[in-house]
Amino acid sequence: MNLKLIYRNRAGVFWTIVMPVFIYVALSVLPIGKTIGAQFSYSNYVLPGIVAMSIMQGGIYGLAYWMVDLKSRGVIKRFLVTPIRQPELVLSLLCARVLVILVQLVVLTLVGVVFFHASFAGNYFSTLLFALMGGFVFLLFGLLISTMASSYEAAAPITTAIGLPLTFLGNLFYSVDGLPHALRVVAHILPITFLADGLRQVYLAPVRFGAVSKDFLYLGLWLVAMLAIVIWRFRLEE
Amino acid sequence: MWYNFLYMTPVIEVTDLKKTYPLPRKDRRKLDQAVFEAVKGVSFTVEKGEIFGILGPNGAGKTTTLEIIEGLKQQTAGSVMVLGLDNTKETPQIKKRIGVQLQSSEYMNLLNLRELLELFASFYGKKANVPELLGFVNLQEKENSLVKNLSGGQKQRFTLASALVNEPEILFLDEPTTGLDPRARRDVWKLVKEINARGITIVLTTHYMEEAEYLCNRVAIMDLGRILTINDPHKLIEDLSHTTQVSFFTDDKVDENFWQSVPDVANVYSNHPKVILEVKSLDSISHIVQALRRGNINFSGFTVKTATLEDVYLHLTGHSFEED
Repeated sequence: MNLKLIYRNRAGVFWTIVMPVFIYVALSVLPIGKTIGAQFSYSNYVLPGIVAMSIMQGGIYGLAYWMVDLKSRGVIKRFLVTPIRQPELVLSLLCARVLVILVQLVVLTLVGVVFFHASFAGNYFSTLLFALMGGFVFLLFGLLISTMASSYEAAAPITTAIGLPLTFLGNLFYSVDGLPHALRVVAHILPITFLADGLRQVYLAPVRFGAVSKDFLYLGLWLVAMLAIVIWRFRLEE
Repeated sequence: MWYNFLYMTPVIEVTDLKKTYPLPRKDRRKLDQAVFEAVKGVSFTVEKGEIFGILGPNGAGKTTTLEIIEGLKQQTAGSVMVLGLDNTKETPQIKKRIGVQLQSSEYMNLLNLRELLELFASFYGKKANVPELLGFVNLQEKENSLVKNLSGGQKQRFTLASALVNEPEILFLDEPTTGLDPRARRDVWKLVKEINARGITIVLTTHYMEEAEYLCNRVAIMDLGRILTINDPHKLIEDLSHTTQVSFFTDDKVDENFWQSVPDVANVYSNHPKVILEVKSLDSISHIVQALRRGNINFSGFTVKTATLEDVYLHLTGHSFEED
């Protein structure tokens, strides 16, 4: 595999990492948090949400735009005239993205823990597993979008249409329990909900695997479903 | 040809190659056909060590033909053998042994030249000899620059270097000098000749007559998905019986019959005030001048032009090159 050199987008990495941190800092400093339950501070509550959001955005927005850009400029074609196989190429592009997602996760968590005394209960394994599973679910979303869209202009509305509901119904900034019933039903099947919920439990208190197994299970189902769709529909070329 | 004995081994054999694309629904009804035939049965062989050109206007099917040989596309019908390997079954083996320069020369934006060469070499499981490759295309001092900061000519030279990372046996160049200024074009031509001198077979497409004439040992002239002729470009020009054109302007009325008495004038196109004569030999030029003197005909702008590939193309297709 050839992932070591594929990804180096200095400006891109900077913004994908700084933006979520900035949102997190803003949300923590602003007094919104005070109104939420007494058990945890808002900066505590929202940290796993922001982490989940950056995983989702890294997968959907990051990969889709990147792939569409590479495709429309013919870079993918240039790769395909070399002996590299298509699955190998796709996998290395995904791995590059996963690395970025993991860096985001670490940076966000460090900022939260160091500056806002957010709790991180320290189950590295569960956190990593959630990040990887969630990351791949959304990366597969990104792959599908890159198949559908042949230009940046075409990709933008699709990513927004998928990204926005995931952002607002995903249990990221507030509990979905406060939503109207219909939206709550939708929210409870979105992959982002399971990712955010799982991460939140892992972050806030040391939990045993059993407590988050439901989130793992549903995220796993999403992963399998997305994988099936990707294998069925995904095309690297037009 | 005298050099035929030098390359007797075909490295590419294309037989009756066809490629059709499905048409979008709305065009299907309009054109009353379900598919678009981009390549309509093309056959040719490329011999080891030669520079083989595919010449034709945009949309002639050059790039499609090339991309099928390179293993980027599958043909609808026909067979392609590259270095003795079947292009549909042994694509990975073929890809290892060929180098490709595509029409667009785009790369990852934020990798520098050295990193790009290393990346491409890694796809072949090789180590790139970066100083040598960049030195060859005269870009050694640009090792750490990004592709987007290169000029058009430099970029094109870099794509040549990147197509050579795996030390290919055949190099494919798809319109290597399109959009370059004359100087950059000459630089690329020089490099292509040098690469060929190392024994690498080169297949290139172009829509520049001059390029085909200068670089290629043989050219295939392609139009609307078909190959019209394949030959040494100089031979093609020679074979065009009316090799030389004489033209001049005159205000006097000259009867077409006037030229019948002048030896070696093959064809007359009188388009008042310009007269164009096709002549069979250069000797006839003095006959023409004498005849004009005798007939007391005033003339100006007397020009003698030998045929180019462009005339060959015009002769073969019946339409001029730029029209498309």
